[in-house]
Amino acid sequence: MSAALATGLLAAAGIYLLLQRGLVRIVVGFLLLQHAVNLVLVTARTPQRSHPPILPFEGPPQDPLGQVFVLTAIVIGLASTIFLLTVALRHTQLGTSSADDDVEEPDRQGSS
Amino acid sequence: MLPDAVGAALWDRIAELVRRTGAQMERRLSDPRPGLHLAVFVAVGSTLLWLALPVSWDVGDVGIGDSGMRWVVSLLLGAAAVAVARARDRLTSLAVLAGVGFVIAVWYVIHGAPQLAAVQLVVDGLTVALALFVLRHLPRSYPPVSRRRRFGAGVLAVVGGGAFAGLSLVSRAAGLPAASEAYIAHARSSSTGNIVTGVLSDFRALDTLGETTVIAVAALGVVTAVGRVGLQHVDTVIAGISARLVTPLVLVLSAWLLLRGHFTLGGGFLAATVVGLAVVLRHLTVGSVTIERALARGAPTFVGAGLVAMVGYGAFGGLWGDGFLDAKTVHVTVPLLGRLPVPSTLLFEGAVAMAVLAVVAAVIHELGSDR
Repeated sequence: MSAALATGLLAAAGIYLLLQRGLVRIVVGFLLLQHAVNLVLVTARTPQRSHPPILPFEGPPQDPLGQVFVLTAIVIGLASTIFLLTVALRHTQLGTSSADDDVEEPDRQGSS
Repeated sequence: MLPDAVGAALWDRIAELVRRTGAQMERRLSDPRPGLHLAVFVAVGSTLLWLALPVSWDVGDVGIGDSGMRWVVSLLLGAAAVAVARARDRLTSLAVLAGVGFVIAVWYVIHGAPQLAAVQLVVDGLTVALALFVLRHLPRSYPPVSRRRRFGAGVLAVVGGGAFAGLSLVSRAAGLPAASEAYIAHARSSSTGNIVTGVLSDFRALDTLGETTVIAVAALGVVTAVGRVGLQHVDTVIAGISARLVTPLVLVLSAWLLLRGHFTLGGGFLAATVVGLAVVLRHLTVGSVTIERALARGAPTFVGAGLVAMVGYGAFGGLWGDGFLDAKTVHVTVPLLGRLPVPSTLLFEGAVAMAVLAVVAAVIHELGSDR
């Protein structure tokens, strides 16, 4: 239950940021969403257990399969974050100010 | 058969319709605002999740209770996530994001995943350091967002977050899946201690090879996209001394993590990213010195060599084991230390470490330089 709360709030915060303006906010949102998926994978099967899957076991271990998936996900996540950050940096360097990447419709609000 | 005149009129009508629909579609699809496309994606994804939830809803015999400690850490995590979403300037959001990563590491520990906690801590530090390098070039605060858009994003966030929370509650079972039981049984009958690293460097070694390729491609993208000019560093006495003191310690820690990864907490990726953190520290304080510079310049070579070593090791699996990337443990008697198990996955993990270290050094070098 506590895991569901943490997962839900992380996902909500991630989605909220994904839908904002500015590439860096989108990168941060992407990271939060990724954390949410990782939490789901870790607790997917036996959320109540708390013993690590390292031999010798002290009790019934947590599912190692989900952790294997998450470990891969963290590594790929680092790679994609690095790449997204570079895109954000290049975007700025190429003269377009970061405020321009996602301009709101002019009838609602002037741009900064 | 239709008369020719009717056929021609019909043809024109249909062609016009297709053209008009196409133009409209094109206008929507080529909209440059990422938010618009992501909103559609999030809305469709969350709706599908919500629809799928009742089908698999089975809280089952396990119950949903939790210990107090888990509640404390989960609430802290949720609060930190909301704080990141509400932050108005980039530096604040990045600082809180680092905090989120830290709390997640604690969360992993109390959920029985210390290997993930260790990797998460190191990757968190590296991500924040790299993000700070990029942030130096951007304005301090985020572009403002209209109230209407914030409201829309908030509604979608609640719907999507709810779907994720539901996903986290369903499909619980009392036991482990058959695949996990098989992994555990295999680990018991071999030298593997840490089942997570064991699975990654043995059963799913091909996956790890692919994952190292992904991170290598990302790094090459960074090296290609960002040109490098001068360097700037903070050379205070304390920072300089701490960097020089920390580096040898980090190298010892990294070697230790690499060697024991097969048996308990550790692994090649963890070892390489720990060194990456030391490279960040050195880059910021004493400047990028000879070794790192050489590593960063020759990054494509080192990354390639690491990948080739992984494939080469995989080919040897056909000689000593059951096929590509198969692992085997040999026992070596060392004076003083006695009989030691040496898993062949150590070679694999070493190759992973080399590729990842070159990637991290190159990325720090590129993103951390001033233009």
